[in-house]
Amino acid sequence: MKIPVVRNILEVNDRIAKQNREIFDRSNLFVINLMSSPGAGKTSLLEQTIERLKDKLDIGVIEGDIQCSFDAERIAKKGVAVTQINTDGACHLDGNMIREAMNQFDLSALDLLIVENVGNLVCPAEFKVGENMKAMILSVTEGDDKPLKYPLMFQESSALVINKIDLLPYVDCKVENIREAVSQLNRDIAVFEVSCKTGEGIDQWVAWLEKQVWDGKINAGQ
Amino acid sequence: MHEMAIVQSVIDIVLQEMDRHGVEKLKAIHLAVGRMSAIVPEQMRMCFDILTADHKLAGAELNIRMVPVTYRCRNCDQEFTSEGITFKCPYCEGPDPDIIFGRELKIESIEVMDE
Repeated sequence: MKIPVVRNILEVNDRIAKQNREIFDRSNLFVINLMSSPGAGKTSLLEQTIERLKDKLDIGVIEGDIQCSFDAERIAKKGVAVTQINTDGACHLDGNMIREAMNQFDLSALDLLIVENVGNLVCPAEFKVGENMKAMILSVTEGDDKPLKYPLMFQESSALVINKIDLLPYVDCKVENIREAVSQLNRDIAVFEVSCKTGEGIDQWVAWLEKQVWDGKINAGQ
Repeated sequence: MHEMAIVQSVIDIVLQEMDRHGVEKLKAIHLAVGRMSAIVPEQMRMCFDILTADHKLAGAELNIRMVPVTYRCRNCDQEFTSEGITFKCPYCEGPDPDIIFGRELKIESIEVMDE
């Protein structure tokens, strides 16, 4: 005998993420879930972003890593509030982990909270943490075939930052190919080409991000 | 390897449902998993076996129905399925169809062991 159930497997995480979002909204706080493969440049992009925005916005960072706190130490040097989550093997952050980590901050004192997810191009895309938007990085050394190989994250993200464009002369990767595939997967995604090494393109990304934060605050205030 | 976390959520929900319906032993759990979700069915079954060893769910079959990606054309409204990713409507060649199914991660039913 079959008993119908029809329940979303991730319902518990979705519920916790929704509650997180309600808490963030009450603090008028904009939250980004930043995802990419390991080594694509999440922490480097954060360093560059914080440098340009920290006089305009109060920023907090949650660092997610399987082990160690190297990234949190790098971010702390930039003079913003940061806390580290070690997942002890888990390949992604979930709503519950963020619920615990967010208690480390005075949320009402922040404008922008950036969650740096565990480096992984697959799993983090399935788990909401309570973010206003997802953003992702793809570095050109990973190859231009990645959007079609790992479509989910590209579909879920509001922004794609293509990093390491200073290395384009040395790799078989065409930014046009990335852009074409990504625009077909997600017609609304904003795409930026940057080099965290040289600083090229970072200003455009930061200007866009700052606008999202202020627009989000205006919407939340209405 | 987020299959472990997903299978743990399946087990939690299934135990609640067994309790609710007064069921002691299951023959099978039937899931629907969209092809667009980032799930490897073999890994789910392996995680299920590990997590349910010495457990009242031990021996239950984890039956995973893969849901094909279904699109609806934004131009002509026709619906069509695809094994992979497609960007073109096969009827009118309109670009950029919407995905309407293929992201599912659902428990559809539990199957009780016959007495």
